[in-house]
Amino acid sequence: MKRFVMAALLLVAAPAAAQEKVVHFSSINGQTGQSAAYGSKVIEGVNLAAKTINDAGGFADRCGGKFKVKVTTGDMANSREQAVSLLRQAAADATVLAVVGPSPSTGYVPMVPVAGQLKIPVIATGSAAPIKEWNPWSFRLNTTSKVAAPGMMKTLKTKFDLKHVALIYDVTQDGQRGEAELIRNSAKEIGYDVVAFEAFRAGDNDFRPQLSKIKATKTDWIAIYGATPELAKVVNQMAELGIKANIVTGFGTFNDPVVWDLTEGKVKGGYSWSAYFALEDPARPEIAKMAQLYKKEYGHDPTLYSFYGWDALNVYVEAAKRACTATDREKFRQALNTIDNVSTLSGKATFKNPPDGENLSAAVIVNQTTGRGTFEALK
Amino acid sequence: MSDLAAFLTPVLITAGINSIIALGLYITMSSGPLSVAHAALAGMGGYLGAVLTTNFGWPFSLAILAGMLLGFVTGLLLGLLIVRMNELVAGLTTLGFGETMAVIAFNIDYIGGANAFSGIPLRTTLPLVYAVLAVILFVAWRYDESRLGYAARATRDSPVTADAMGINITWVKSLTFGIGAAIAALGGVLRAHYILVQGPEDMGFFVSVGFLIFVIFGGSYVFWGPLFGAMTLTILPEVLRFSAKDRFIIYGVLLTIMVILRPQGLITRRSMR
Repeated sequence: MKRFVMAALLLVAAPAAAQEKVVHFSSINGQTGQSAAYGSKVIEGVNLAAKTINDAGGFADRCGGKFKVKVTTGDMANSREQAVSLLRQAAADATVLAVVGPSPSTGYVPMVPVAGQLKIPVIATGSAAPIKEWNPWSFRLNTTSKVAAPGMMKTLKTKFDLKHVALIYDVTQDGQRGEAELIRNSAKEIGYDVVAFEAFRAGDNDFRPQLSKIKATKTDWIAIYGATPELAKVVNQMAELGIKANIVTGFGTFNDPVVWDLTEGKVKGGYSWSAYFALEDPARPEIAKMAQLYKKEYGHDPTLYSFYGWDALNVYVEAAKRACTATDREKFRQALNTIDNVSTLSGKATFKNPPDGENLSAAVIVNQTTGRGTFEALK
Repeated sequence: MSDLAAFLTPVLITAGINSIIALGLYITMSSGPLSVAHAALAGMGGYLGAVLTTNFGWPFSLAILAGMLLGFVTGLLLGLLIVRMNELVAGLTTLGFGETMAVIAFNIDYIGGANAFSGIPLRTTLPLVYAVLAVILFVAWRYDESRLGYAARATRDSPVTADAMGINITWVKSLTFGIGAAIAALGGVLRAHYILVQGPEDMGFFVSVGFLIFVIFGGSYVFWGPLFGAMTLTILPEVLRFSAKDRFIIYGVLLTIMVILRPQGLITRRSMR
């Protein structure tokens, strides 16, 4: 009788234990095609993170369940169709809890509405394109200007007590205009005044009318948002007009050697932002540890995209621990929204979606250009 | 849904849509013109259909008709433009047209510009795609046996002889271009309402070349050819996913071997008899 009861208990318990042993994530990225250079690094980061967790015996969730991680990789080959097809395939597989999404925007942008429709969480690992309409199922781990530009201004405010800023920007470029508007709209919250908001068009050559107006404001900070040719002309004409002010721009533009050459070094001392990346950081030994593991596994150093892949999987595992589920996507999505200042190799992760899936604590480094293609991070 | 169905459904939808666009290209090419504008024509249909359903709430069926009409008129005009050009110049003109359309799409904010037009409702389903494909196959079959089909093939094989026989070459070339473009635009509307994003990249040269490869690989002398080419070449890379990094190498090698062995395409009129 005792044996019969034991056997019956085992029969009842075994399937339940077996069902929740693996958390299955789909990893969709560009393994071939134009985006393979980034996508393959994300895939390597994801796979190494999964291997590291599994080699350590898996992970335990907050409800005491033990899990291993399974990752299925899909190559979107830089094609929208393939990205969406792979997402649909992942969503139709009930064992897939969530998708580590692509680094190319070609894949992530069309995935966003489909993820919302199919109710499956997707996290971007490098895509920076603006998302027209967010939904509660889409997230983005990497830094974008939406977070970075106000972050840079906060740093400048704290460090230099920045009070007045004049903006000159390319009205024809969505990205440039968008970031200039972000800086204008963040003024009140951060505590500075926007004393000029002057537009130009791509292809313009003469910026003196706008710069004369800016000169009249006597501001000591000027933010310039334009593509390399126009940006260089603005900087050169500022010098011509005798404008001596600190200059600020977006994603690492002043560090571009071409900008340095076109301005004959006038961008020296200018400020811009970039994503955090270091292969060694004495304050964060986990970075060097991962870099060693990575080199041992793949024979080359990790890149920022490898970190994004590693971080995305670890953030997902953290959410799975909190959600106590391997299959309930809604619970998992809710758990992702409790990720608050979780440390990652590429910085930190915080999600509060809605209103959007941007990483609210993505690390932003403010750089000061020191020479041709060289810069120093502001301490 | 079973794993197999989950894998097959998106693949079959994409293969069906590609087949529809390839059949449009087949009809255009049946009278001679080598078109590298069909991705742009499909994209124009996709943009118009998407804007009509998303921004104006039009029923999907009407959006399809509007997309087809736009494709037909554009194709007809493009056909008229290239009718007197030699094959190379005509091909380059269609290339220029396609690239121009893509650049225009990049620069119109209303349709999303470089960030693509998104927010498109999902309307395309597997049964719908295959119902449409069945209709298009029927049209292509009837077209092949019609006076227009015979006139088109005569025009392609020898324009001078066809002209001497009283065939209105200008009319035949532009009409077949228009019909083929309308079918491509129909495929574009279906694609936009499945992918849910329509972008300028979908209209570029390489996408057009992809459709051209479907037709040339399958055979451009009978309507089964583009169907076979589009189905095979869409499904093959998916089947080869077990070899993620090498699948496009295998795909390329297979394609090269087939083109060397069967330069006339895998399916010809003779092989159908």
